[in-house]
Amino acid sequence: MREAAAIAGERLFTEFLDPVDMTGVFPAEMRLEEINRIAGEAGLRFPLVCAEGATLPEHVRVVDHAPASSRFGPYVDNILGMNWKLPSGRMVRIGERVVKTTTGYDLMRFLLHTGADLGRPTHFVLRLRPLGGETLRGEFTGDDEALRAVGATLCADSWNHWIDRIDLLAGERETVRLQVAVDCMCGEGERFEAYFGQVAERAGATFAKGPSLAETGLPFFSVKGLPGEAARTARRCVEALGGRARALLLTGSVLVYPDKEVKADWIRTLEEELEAIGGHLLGNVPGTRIGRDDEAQWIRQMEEQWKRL
Amino acid sequence: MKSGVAGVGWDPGCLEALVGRERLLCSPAQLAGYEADGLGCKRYRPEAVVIPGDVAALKEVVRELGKLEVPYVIRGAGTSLSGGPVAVEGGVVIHLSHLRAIESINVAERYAVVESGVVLADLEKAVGRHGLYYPPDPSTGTVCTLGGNVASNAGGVHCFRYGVTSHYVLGVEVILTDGRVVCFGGPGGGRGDWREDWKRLFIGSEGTLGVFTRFWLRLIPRPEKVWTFRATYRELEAASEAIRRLASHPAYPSAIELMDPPCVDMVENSPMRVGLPKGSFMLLTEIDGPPELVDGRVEAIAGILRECGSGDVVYSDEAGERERLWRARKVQGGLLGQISPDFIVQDAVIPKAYLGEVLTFIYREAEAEGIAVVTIMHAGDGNLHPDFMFDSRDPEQLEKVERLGKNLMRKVSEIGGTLSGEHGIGSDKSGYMKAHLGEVAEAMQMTVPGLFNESHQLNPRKVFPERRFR
Repeated sequence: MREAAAIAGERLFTEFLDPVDMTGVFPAEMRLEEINRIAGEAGLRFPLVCAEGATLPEHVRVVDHAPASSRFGPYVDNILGMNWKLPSGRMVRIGERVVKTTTGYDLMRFLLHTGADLGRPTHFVLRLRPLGGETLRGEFTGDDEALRAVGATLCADSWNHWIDRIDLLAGERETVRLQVAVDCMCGEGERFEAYFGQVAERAGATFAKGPSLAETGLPFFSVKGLPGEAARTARRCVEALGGRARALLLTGSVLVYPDKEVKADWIRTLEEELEAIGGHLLGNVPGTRIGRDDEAQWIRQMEEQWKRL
Repeated sequence: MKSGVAGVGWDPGCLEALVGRERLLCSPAQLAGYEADGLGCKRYRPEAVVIPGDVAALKEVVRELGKLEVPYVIRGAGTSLSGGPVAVEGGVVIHLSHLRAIESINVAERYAVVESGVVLADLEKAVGRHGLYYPPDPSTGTVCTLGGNVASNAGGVHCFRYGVTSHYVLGVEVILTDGRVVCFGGPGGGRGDWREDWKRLFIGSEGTLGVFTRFWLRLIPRPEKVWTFRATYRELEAASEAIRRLASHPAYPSAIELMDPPCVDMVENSPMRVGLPKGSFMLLTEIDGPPELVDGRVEAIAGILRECGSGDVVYSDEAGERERLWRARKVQGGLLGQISPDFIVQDAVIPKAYLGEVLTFIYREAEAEGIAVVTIMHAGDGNLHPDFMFDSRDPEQLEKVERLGKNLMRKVSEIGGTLSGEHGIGSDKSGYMKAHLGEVAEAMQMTVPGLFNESHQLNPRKVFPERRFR
């Protein structure tokens, strides 16, 4: 374990793991499997993983929610601070190492997914979570109506405060599947299994424990919209683009893994629908993030001023 | 009382046509209630208060004030503790008490659309009827408004597990200083048709970037059952160990609250006493969830509290008894007001490993200044609230309390903490920002109001002292 330290003067974050606050500072280029290996030695984990072999910058470029966001929220709520390299090369600290702050404007959350030319992170301060001691993973199977009922129950029930993922998978097999995962206290796995069994029975679906779930993987792009629309959006993406999609039912995010070319006009139609409800697209898609005329001036002004710092 | 510096060449009466006579307050007696917020000891009288009846009138008022070049400040219930919604440069206070509509609650998608003047407790009641829950719960919940909550990114006792206000804001509707009404985000919780996620900058901006009119707020299923635990400890080390073990336990308590011995003694020496051992640290914690799950966690939590050395662990899932367990924590704020003419509730977040060092520092500094202090803490988050008691009629005492605050903030910065966890910077702590952030980070921060409120006409001198309108 490395000791906590904050440098005076520029106050950059140095690498540490604080098991009391359950926070840690990690290089931006570190892969998540390495972060979780280090955190795991202290009984902690960083749960927002789509691809263990990828870094956090690779994640936040294409997703703002991971499957475990169902329980722990989006990346912006689990990254507390950053060392930030300005376009001039100068380093500066953004955010804090503590879990709560109202000190100044929230540049941390603004910058995490920015597309503007304002610099890049070199280190992240992560909020880590305790390892539960027991994990349970499983799948619901059934027809569309049954899985819709399962999803609706899981999303409306306070049990979901404790469930690490409630994901509907479209396109991978002939039938759609709904995956759940729980990281719980030792001895609680049976209670979750019983609960999932009851939910399945009421909905006319089947629940089976699975020893492992395939890695989520980094999507080509992701969608953030209304939770109730996520399953439909996932199916729609698969129909148009092939491949597969994962609907994070509680958060309204959809991770999309197409195997056909993503046409600009198709994606623009989807994006406009999302914009109308305050949602968005993130990732490797052509022609998106056009933005509004009035913000071009704001972005330009920020970029020009930060280049001079 | 400090007087405003505006008022040259403008007549507040010109706003009457926009809002009506009954919604324009100009007499000294009417303005007196708007001189201060919960900070209390620093008072600035505005030249006028306007209470727009709806968003359309509010928009007209913002446009008119823009033309008049008069500073203005937005105010909800005025419960801020940082000198936020006060007219430091004089001018106009816009009171949003009439924007109180809970416009809709979408149960299926789990979000609410509310106007910015809605009282937090009203939202809690309304969503509770649908089995839903809006977790941020600052102690002024029965009166504070959601506009103030979003502006200060309010927290509360249950944010250790559930998070703060920013975790629940899907979108904001804002009147910009040029009078345009824009939405950042919406029910989808993303950027909307903007290239960047501007709402992140507006949440917690302390009313310095625009005027909130409407929010889209995320709701979650209400936990069916709650267990409350109370324990006392003679030594801080034992209480700290209990906090550490609770915070890292997979039962994941929703709240972990600490009261220090002076605070416990204050309660026990009052008519509100609850029978806690004097000279002890009091720890409160809660777990919640479905009964099938949470009932099975009770012994684990009680076991931690006992193993750390408490001989008086009590716990309950019964509403009346739970209220009794919370009683000491809930009455302490009112007692402060009864036993001291004034008090300042400080707000800082520290790495929890430094709790002992920081409490010792607070006691030593307060004793040296001859100022009484009691401390409560959202211990799970490391969010410390030392309450310094004094008499603002004595300038020397006010000076001492300000010195205590300054020294505490310096200490907090040195150990890697932050100046505010949930109250905001306001005018009270703006002077410490440069030292905390450093020059480059401060310059980056100052670009934000430069985009939306370049002249600082809206809520001047808050967050950064350089934000002067005149």
